[in-house]
Amino acid sequence: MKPCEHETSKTGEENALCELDWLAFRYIAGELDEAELEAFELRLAEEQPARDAVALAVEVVQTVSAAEHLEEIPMVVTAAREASRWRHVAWLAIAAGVAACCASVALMFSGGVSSVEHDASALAAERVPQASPVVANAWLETFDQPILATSQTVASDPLEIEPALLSGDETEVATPDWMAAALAGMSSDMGMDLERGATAPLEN
Amino acid sequence: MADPGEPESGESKTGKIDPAAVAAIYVEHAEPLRRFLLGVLGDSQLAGDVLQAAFTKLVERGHETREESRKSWLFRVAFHEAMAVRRRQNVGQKVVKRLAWSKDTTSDRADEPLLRLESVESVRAALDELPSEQREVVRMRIYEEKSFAVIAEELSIPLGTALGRMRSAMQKLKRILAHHQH
Repeated sequence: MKPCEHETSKTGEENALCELDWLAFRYIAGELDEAELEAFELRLAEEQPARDAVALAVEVVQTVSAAEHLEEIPMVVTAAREASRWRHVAWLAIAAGVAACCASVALMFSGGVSSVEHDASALAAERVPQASPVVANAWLETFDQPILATSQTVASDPLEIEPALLSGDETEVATPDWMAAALAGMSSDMGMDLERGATAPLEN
Repeated sequence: MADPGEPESGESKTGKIDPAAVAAIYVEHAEPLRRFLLGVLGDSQLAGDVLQAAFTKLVERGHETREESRKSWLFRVAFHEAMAVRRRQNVGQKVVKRLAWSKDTTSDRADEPLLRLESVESVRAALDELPSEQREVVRMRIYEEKSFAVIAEELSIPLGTALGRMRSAMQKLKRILAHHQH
């Protein structure tokens, strides 16, 4: 659509906005006076270049108007690109993880690594002394009691067992020192009257 | 000379214009015609209505026109229809006193003319490169919808200077758009 091409070629001023385009812009902008308006609409009824000029003027104005809103678009595009970039990184990380797992599985089932595995086992045996079954059972027995005591504590209401814990009767419940200290600290933080086993109001 | 037994280009055997020819004309000319009607009527909905009416007439009477003059015929029919609508609605030239319709370009309405994003981006860049005094006039005229008289008064410049700045800016912007159309 070049309504003014013939005029620019006559004048040789390629960049000149011809009179027709300017008239068209002033027409759509409502800037023509009565006489100009009447004359221009007569031209619109007869001349296709005048109609093309109006269409072009509307396109220019609409494009300029749309450009006003364009500042919002780069922000959206930037955010989208940023999200896309992070998705890409995440997929790369996942792919790397899967590849590592596959490599590990492949290494595990390949004979070539048995020596590596063996070396690792040997190293572990050097560092961790071999535990005899007797020592192991003794270790488990010492371990079982606190675990059971702890499980009982968890299973029952903490407020119900507190008097027993704080009574000093260590035969009743074998409570480790660190647990008693922790409970005592917690109780004092909560404003509990440890002697009575009741909750006292906190002072401000 | 065409064979008398053969229909003219774009004319079907029934004497009506070939629907495929109508579709091709629509693809080629509907958007420029819609913009032209928007410039005449200042209302995108009315422009859409008149556009449809013009194409209805093309279907009914298009076979009476020569192919090479169909665009001109279509625009002329649409213009007369638009003037009739203006008379019926008694809106006159008031509707084009302001460029408020240009604000709706980002809407999704089907009767809005289409804009190319790359054209908008290029025009945006061109706006940034305009001399500040030209950009100011463009902003006040198109975004703030002020008349040139008001712009001249607010900027304390002669009316001719305001018009000249707008004209220079439009010249550059039109060149950008023309570049994207080819």
